[in-house]
Amino acid sequence: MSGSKIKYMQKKGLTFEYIEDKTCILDEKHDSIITLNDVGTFIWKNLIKPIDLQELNDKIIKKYQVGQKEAFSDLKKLITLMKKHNLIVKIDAP
Amino acid sequence: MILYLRYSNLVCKISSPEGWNKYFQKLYENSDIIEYSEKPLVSRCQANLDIVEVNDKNIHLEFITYRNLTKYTIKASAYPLFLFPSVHQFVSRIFNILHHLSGGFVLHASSILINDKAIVFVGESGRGKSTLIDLIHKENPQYTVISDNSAFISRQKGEYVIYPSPYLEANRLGSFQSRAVKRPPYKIHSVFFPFHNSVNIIKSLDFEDRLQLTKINSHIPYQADIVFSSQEKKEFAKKVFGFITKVPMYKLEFAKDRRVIYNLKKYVR
Repeated sequence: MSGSKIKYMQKKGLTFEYIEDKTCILDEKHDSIITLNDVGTFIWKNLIKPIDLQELNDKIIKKYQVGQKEAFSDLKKLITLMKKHNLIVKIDAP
Repeated sequence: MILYLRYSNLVCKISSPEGWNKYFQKLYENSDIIEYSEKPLVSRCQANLDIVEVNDKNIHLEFITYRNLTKYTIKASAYPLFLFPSVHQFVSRIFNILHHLSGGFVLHASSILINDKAIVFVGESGRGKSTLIDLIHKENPQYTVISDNSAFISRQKGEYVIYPSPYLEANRLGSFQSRAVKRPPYKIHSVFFPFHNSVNIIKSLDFEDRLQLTKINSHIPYQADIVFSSQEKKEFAKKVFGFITKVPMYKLEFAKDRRVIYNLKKYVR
């Protein structure tokens, strides 16, 4: 699967808060708030240390019992959004 | 002349034209949280306010403060100030800045203590902040009105609290006779953004709406004519972020009748 060699993690110094099963993240660049639902929160928590998309996708499938393709498509969309809002950074895998 | 005001952990040294002490003294007499002195007050956090030029049209201020060993200067203009309401506006501006610098923020809001729980109504002029306070207080004169127009909010031990305004507000508070049973600050129970309507509806707000409504109703740095740096704005956004994620916030659509009080009380149990 494409992109599996690249790892991502949360950008340091971000302001965010877990509220019940949601996560609110302050997007300083756009002066707005991004709210993640429970699945987004699960992904966000896994991004606390470098992780590649394949590994992350496997975790989502295991936790939410969804199809691999569907999960990966949604994951890529969320990662794209997080990149756009400067919430995550790309890490070169060793 | 030189005078000193202590507010929270911050001392403001003010260089002002002769005769200005009477305005600040007036504030001191009416405030629980401002210390006024013509002798030097000392604090680790000091701001200097120089009133560098006064004429009949406007005032030019130079506000210099030190924080984290960084000196920065804010230059601003204020409205004409020789009539009392204008002096009042000018002084309120200083305290808004001081509160901001001491880690808090100021919202355009009225507030009242209902059973020792501080309820805050945030909104622009005409949204019904004062109407709500009037309605509630008329029905329940035992409740204490905290503020009529400005809410001084701080974070203390992980909770958000409100102080009464350190300055007189629109001469309205004198009409409320009840006295606070305990000293400020008061823990904020919930925040309502009022909107006039023909029916009474209370709705929870999503976080983006909370952020935008809080921002547009903050005295600084978004609405003042004072230029804050982008770093200041970021700091402000972080402060507001904590507030909107910790404190319950609602949109309050209300008709001017008693039912709004009944509805509110359901949220203030």
